[in-house]
Amino acid sequence: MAASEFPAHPQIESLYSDHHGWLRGWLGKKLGDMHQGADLAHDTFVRLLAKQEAVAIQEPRAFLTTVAQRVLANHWRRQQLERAYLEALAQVPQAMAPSEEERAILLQTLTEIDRLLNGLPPPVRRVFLLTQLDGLGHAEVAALMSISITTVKRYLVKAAMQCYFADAQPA
Amino acid sequence: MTEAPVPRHVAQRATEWLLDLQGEPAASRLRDEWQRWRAAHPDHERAWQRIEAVNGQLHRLATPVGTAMAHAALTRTGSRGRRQAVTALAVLLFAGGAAWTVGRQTRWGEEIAAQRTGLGERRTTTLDDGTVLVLNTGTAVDVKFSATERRVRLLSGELLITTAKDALGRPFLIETAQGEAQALGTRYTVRQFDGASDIAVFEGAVRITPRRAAWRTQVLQAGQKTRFAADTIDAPQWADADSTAWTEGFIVAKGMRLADFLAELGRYSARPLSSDPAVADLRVSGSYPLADIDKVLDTLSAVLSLEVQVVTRFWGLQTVRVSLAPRKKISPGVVRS
Repeated sequence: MAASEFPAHPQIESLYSDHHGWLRGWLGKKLGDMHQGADLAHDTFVRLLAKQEAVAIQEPRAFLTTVAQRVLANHWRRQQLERAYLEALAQVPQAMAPSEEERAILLQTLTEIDRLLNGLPPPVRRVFLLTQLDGLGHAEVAALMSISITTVKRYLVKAAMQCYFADAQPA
Repeated sequence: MTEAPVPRHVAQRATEWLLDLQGEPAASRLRDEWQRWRAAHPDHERAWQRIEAVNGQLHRLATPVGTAMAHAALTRTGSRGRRQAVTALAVLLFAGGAAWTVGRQTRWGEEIAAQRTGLGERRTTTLDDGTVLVLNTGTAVDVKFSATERRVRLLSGELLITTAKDALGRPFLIETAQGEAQALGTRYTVRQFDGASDIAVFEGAVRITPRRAAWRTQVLQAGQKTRFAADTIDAPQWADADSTAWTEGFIVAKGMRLADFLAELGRYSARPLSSDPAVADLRVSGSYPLADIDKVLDTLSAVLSLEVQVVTRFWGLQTVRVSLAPRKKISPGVVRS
């Protein structure tokens, strides 16, 4: 075992005491909000603690930045989704507006599905939703989106492999 | 969430199955093969469960609003794309959404009505003049009283009206897509169908005026019922008092065809109901409570020696219809739940 390799936790402890303040500031500046910066710095360490495997850390700040970038990206994505969600909600006629409880379920489900679809281009997402949520057939989706059935299938395979089997391993 | 990953080739095969099963109306042989594949190895079943887990989550969004919101929120791109998505949402809601024409959801026009009932719902409401309206399942009305008339527009569904004498002497009119029915001191029902309206009079009389043939106006007396379109009125028939049983929460059948009975019962059910053609002509009699459709189906299937099949779309997520069919052994191509 190389000298720089340790079981995760003690390592993180020292990371925390040495660099937590710095990370908070870095995130705070990125977000333009020190409170949010503190929250996301906290999330970053929670994420590190959740990882079971040992980590070899040569450049602590570069390492922390990499993890924090991911936390930050999630944060932006979530914020974007919430904004889209609120805009969409504002379009719903009052008579059809979901109840508080339905809204909570709606947002939670949307967040989860959004996480699964992360990184897929909008047309691929759309094909996925039209087939899996709306229950349309491939030909119907092809007609609706003015693309070929072959493309519908290709998009669907792409979405399915990521959504259902993001962790699939070569046999 | 430390479940072992699914081998990639199994994931690919599971995805192929998904595409095959959803692609075209799946043949029963294909379904059999798919079931065999699932059973062949624990990894196969595990892979399939992954698909079902995610689609189960998706299913929570399967309402008109949820679907529209999912499209708007999840297919967003930048801010410009988001605005487009929001426009698409508005279109979806107003157009009813292509995907929802198969559903049993009420149309947009019904949502803005002054009074409405959902599927299986029934409501009694008293208007300002003392007229009592009983709204049957899936009914929408607009009420508009002016200085010269009392007008109720029936946008969909069915109404029982018991008119009150108006202090101002204004006529009471029910407007449907096909024309008007003016109450002449009365208790009567009006039901809106696609392309026609039915009127049955139980007390007093009603004057019917088709929208495009006002000269054909006709007075319907107590005990009569008829159907009218925008330019015609059918000859009056005997109105059965049982046809208002819904106001008490019942459906009364006297030697009714099973298919017709299920069509009627289906008005109160979120899941479409149907029967196998082989048993469609069996006769149904009796008085059935509308509050518990499943129980009615159980009773019917017991009495007629039929079985209830829940026909589902894909793999048990989207229930498409409940149908009554002759009892038999395993029927391929039908997933039972």
